[in-house]
Amino acid sequence: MVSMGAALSVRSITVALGSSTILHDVSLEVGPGQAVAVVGPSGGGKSTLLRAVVGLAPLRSGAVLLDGVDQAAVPVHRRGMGLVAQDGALFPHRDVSGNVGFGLRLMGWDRARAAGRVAEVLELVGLAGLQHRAVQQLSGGERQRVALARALAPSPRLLLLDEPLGALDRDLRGRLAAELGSLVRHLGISVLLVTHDQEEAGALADELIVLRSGAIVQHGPPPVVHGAPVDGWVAGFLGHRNVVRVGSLPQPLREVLDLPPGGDDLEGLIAEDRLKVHPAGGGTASAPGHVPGTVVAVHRRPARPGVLIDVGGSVLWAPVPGWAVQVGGAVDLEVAPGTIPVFDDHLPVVARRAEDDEP
Amino acid sequence: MSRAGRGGRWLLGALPLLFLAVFFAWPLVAVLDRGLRPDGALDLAGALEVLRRPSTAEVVRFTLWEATLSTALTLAVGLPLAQVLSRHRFRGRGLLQAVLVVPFVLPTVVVAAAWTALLGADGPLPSLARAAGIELDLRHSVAAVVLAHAFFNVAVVVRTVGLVWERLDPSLVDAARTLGASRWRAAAIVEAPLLAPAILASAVITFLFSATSFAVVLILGGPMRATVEVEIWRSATQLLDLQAAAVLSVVQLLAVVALLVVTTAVERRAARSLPQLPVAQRLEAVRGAARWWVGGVLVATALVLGAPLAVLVERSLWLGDGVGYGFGAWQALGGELRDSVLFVPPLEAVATSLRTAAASVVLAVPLGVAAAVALGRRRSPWQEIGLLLPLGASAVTMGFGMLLAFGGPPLAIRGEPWLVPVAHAVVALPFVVRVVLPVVRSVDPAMREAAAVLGATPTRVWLAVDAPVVGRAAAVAAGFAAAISLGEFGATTFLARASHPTVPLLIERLLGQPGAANRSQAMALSVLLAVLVASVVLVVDRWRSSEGGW
Repeated sequence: MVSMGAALSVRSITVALGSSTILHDVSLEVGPGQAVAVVGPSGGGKSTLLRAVVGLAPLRSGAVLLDGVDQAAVPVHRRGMGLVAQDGALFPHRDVSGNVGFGLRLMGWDRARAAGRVAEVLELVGLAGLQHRAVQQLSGGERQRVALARALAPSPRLLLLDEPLGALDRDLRGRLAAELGSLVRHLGISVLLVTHDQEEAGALADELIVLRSGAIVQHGPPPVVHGAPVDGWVAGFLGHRNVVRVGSLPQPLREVLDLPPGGDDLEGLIAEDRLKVHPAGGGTASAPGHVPGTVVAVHRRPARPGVLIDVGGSVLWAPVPGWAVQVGGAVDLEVAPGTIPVFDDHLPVVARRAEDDEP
Repeated sequence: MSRAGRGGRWLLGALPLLFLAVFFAWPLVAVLDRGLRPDGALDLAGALEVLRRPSTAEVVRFTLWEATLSTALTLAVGLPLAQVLSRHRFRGRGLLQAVLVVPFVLPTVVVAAAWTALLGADGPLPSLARAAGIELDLRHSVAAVVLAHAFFNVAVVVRTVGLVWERLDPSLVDAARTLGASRWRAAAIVEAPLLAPAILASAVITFLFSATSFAVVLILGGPMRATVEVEIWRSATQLLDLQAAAVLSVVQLLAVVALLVVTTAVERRAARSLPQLPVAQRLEAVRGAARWWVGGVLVATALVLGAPLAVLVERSLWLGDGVGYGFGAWQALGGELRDSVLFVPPLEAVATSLRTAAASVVLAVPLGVAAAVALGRRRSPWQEIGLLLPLGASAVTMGFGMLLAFGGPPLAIRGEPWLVPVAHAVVALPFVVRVVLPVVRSVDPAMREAAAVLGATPTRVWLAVDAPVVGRAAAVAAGFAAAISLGEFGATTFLARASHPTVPLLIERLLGQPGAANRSQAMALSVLLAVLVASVVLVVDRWRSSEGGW
């Protein structure tokens, strides 16, 4: 059942509610079979972007094209796009098969044919045999699987996912994100996903788009965006914790990082995986790229463990070492040499984006 | 709870119970007794004979027919309005929601007068038709009755259904639309089934009110049409066939109870399968095609609800063909218009009505609050039915029952002027309980426990925690009780003395008299009563939380 996904093209759309602009001049492409994730803080216009694509939010300007066909004149129910909402939006008065078969019945399929397809997609999402379960009796994870099955049943060529796993707990979310990723790849369907969760985006997307206050601030393959955020805000949003003023870095670190001359007022990003914590007095303290520091805090939470180290002027997060660190203890911090992303956060966002567009 | 607390609660419950036993149950029993044992011995044959009369069948048929039509029209007007109010954002939405309650609380006589003004031979609608060459007199017609019932009950539908609709997650409809359902299709297969219990509830209430409506049918239906309610009154007062009146009362009471029992059961089953809906909702701005829909619904609403009231005011200023417009009818309110003994100065009737309303508030509010506190947080379907029952038990039956019960020993109080406010209090009591009970139930038990842990006695706990909220609800309930008393007609026709009519009685008398002067004076009194009741209710409605119900 590998089908070819459609190509979605969003061309400088603007969406406004009353006098406030929710989306401003947003453009993006989803190639056939491609998965694109839009990340950004809540209230940034992510859900509105999906609603605009599917036709639930009217465009003030711009166009949405599916396989090159402008969708302006196509009503929501004829667009053939599947949408999975954050809470699933399951119909409480229908059981699982009534929900999953909803779109098929609207397409005019008879009962028997729809039942076959329902069984097929339920199997696909790992819920085989649950046809007659009431939706109130489903767990959170099952609800989202049913919502996904309902969206997939009419074989849409574009799947829109609105924080599909956002309501689930962290553990389950990680597992389902991986499952969802392999499923959509297997189906060859095109996917546009919005989320505030890095993990969800990482597991699914070939392309990452960062949306802030209704405008796209960066896009590219996830490793690229992760490795080279365009500014301190994006870096922070993507989970980087070491965005520091270049001038405040201790001399031994500055020597090994290729910093632009006279850029003391710029901000630099030192990815955590470039840092390594050694015991103090191990004989390496004077080597290049090493600096003495004091442990300010140790976070051992399984989600994001880290050691917070004061290196005199700056405080940096580093991965927890394999040996016992203690708060207040002296350590030796090593940074891997090379180039780091630097950005000037005093420039307006638009100007920075214009610079990015230069090759 | 301590033994003392339980005892106190029992006592609280006993007072309203005793009141209802004497002034509600006893009159009903008297009606039963009169119907089934007219001469002291059980006479089922006589009762059956009444039921077999062709006139009875005709009355029952007409009652069901007009109630069904009324319910259908009310839903047809109310459901679109409920949709518009619970889904769309537009200027004046809040005001409209507040004003919508007015038609429901207007006295039945006033509404009948308003539709008489609009549809009567000299009204604007027939005048327009006449200009177009069509002779149209709808004053005494099924159409007039049905329109007036819809006018009343639109608020019931809008409030009951709107409350659920605005909490219905819009993402369900969005999901249906992305799956291939058009807007209308999605409404039919997703929203409608989820709203069905609320629609059913409002339809049943509307049907009950329409089937047991009295003044509207009496005034607008004309002499040839009678509902069971009107026939009870006619048998008891015009034909002096007390047995027929009693048998019809019993039939009506049984039908009402049966309907309530069945629908309560259905609603409970439906409610169980409906999950908790999210409270949050987003109101859509009105744009595009929705503009026509929202605009059309609002204009239709304005016509159905606004036109009769506008024409009522206009007619109160119209003094007849030769005279034209003027304040004559208003100026004459202070004096007698005719030299008949039956006619009293309208302002005297206003004073009687105000005194009666004050007395019934003083009776109904303390009793209702006591009942609500006693019922507290126990919930049973029977209780709900019990609370609804006096809503369905017709006012005419009650008035008739009081007439029968209190005509002789041990309580020969039929002629007492205070029996009128007592009857009004019986009618108002269930409303008071329905306003106060949810508030009593909404008090967080944790607050009571906190006060108790801090050392407060049960009485102090009640005074500190419950009394402030209950006090507010009681003030609201007092407003509704006053409005009910000011407009009460059915029971009052039996109990008020001819020399001391209330305003609704006087309006009905004036409407029954020929002549433009009588007509315009009836309209002026109706406007006065409408303004009085509407202002009481609007002030009180501001006070209400978004608690729902009506």
